Amino acid sequence: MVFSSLTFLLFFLPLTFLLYFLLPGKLKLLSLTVMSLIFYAWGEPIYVLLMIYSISLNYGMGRLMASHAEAKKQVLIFTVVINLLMLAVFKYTGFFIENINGFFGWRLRVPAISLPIGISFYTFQALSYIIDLYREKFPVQKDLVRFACYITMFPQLIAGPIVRYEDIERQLARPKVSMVNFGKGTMRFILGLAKKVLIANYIGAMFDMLHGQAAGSVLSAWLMTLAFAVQIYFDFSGYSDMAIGLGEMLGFEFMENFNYPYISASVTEFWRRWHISLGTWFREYVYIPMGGNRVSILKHIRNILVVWLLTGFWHGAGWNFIFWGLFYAVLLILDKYVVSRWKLPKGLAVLATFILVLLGWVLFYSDTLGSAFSVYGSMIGIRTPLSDQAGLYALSTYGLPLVLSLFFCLPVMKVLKGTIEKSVPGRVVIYIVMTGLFILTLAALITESYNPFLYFRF
Amino acid sequence: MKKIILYEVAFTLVLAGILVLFLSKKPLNNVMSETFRQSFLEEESAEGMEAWDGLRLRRDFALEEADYEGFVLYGEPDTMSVRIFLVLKCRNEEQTKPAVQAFERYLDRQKEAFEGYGASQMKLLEKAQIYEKGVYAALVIADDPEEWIRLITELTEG
Repeated sequence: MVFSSLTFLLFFLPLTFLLYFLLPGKLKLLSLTVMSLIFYAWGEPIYVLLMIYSISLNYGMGRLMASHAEAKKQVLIFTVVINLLMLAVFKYTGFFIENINGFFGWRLRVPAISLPIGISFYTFQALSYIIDLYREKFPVQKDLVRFACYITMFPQLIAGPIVRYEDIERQLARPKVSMVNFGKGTMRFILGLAKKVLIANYIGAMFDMLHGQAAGSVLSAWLMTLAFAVQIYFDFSGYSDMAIGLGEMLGFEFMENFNYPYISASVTEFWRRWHISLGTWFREYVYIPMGGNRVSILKHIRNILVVWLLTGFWHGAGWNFIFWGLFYAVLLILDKYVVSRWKLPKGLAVLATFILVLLGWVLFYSDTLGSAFSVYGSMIGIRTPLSDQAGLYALSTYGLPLVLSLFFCLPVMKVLKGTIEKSVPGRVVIYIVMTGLFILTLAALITESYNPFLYFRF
Repeated sequence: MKKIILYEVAFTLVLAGILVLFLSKKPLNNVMSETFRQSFLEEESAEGMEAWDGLRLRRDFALEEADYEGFVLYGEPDTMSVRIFLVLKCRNEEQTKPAVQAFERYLDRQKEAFEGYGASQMKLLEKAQIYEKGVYAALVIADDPEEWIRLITELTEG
């Protein structure tokens, strides 16, 4: 089920709230867990089995780790291996077999397993629990319902933010349910929904149109990549806003996942602002345990390469994602050891970073490396005209919305909202605008076809 | 220590069981739209039908061509004809159910349109068949829909 579906908005969400707010004490979390499992099972019920297994494994092994201090390392290794094995089998089997077949000319059968939605996200959450429990950052969770609620909680289940157990442990014991939080959460949810439905889907249509034409000109190639940059930002940050908003309504505070990434003045800053929860996860559980930056230059470079190879691979079982990760590894190494010594004017640094990010998105949205290089070729005009019919049509049809969307990538609205909401009439204006936005979004949803979130496929 | 090993063995066995359950599923063939198109055109009963484009997919089914990996849509130019051969290859299995719902809505609208005066059309609409498996969804409205459904099944599951 997706947040931007009418089934979710008109049936699932009201019923979940009704149960959650009416039921007392522990039953609240139980109802939230059951509803989250229904939410997860909506598309492909059989994968709930896998989630129940993940809950049982991490809960059970956590209990064992706490009661058998002498063997906690063994328990940790076993649990981490099984979690990663699950992820590897369901996400990467096809990729490995296809590559083996291609390399050796074999004809091994590619198993018919599709990617269980959200597996990358909930597996990383489970890993954060078991690793931090080993590090004794918190006591073991003995309450199965609370633990199951942590793993399954539907707002962040499918596309993050990746919530670390450490950040939510106390909230599970006492969710901060209040009218104020509910109101704030509702506003955040509406904002996220509008980002997805009104901007990401609209600009996504521009990307799809140009993508279908295979970038026949310099103009088309740049417009297509710009459209993708806008689409993926509003799609994913919109989902994160909805998740954070829903969490707030239910009394939970999740970490922020985006902080206006396109105003970054360096690639390093970009990754501090984009998909923050994933970056934090890799820093906490891979980069720092490997020594982080407190090692020799060579080892530091190795650490960056490993983390970004894994980050790329986490995003998908494909060579384009691996190269996308390595692309950022190289940029981050250059940023750290070369570019940071230059004194570039801020505006130029922001523009240069944005162009580099755009080049990265080409690898991300291309199905194969060949098609990515073909787009790069078009971008610099190799055997490609400056403009074509598709590019000019896209510019005339979507040009203004694209510019407006890029404007919304800047923190202007945030500053404006911060100023307006200081006064009572200002707050009333914000409520009216948000209500209007919600109605507009619902109207768009009714006429729209199915539009899944881009990050669901990870 | 014994307890830990026991738990580890138990969890490993359960995971192995789950993996066997998932991996033993027979895979669907990866059939491209072109294959459906060629096989369909080889059928005698396809005579008189013409290929329709994404605009028709949007107009009749409210489905956007770009949202899907591919589609094959054939119909008859005569506005009074209801015969249709539509196969949609989705990008993921989550898209299949909404696609089938779009087919059902189309069928309902057609039945409303022809009910009361189009006896022959109603006959075809009543025996229309919908196919749904993995990433494939198909709608067949024809004199002998089973024949075309068999063709689709052979290509995807055969």
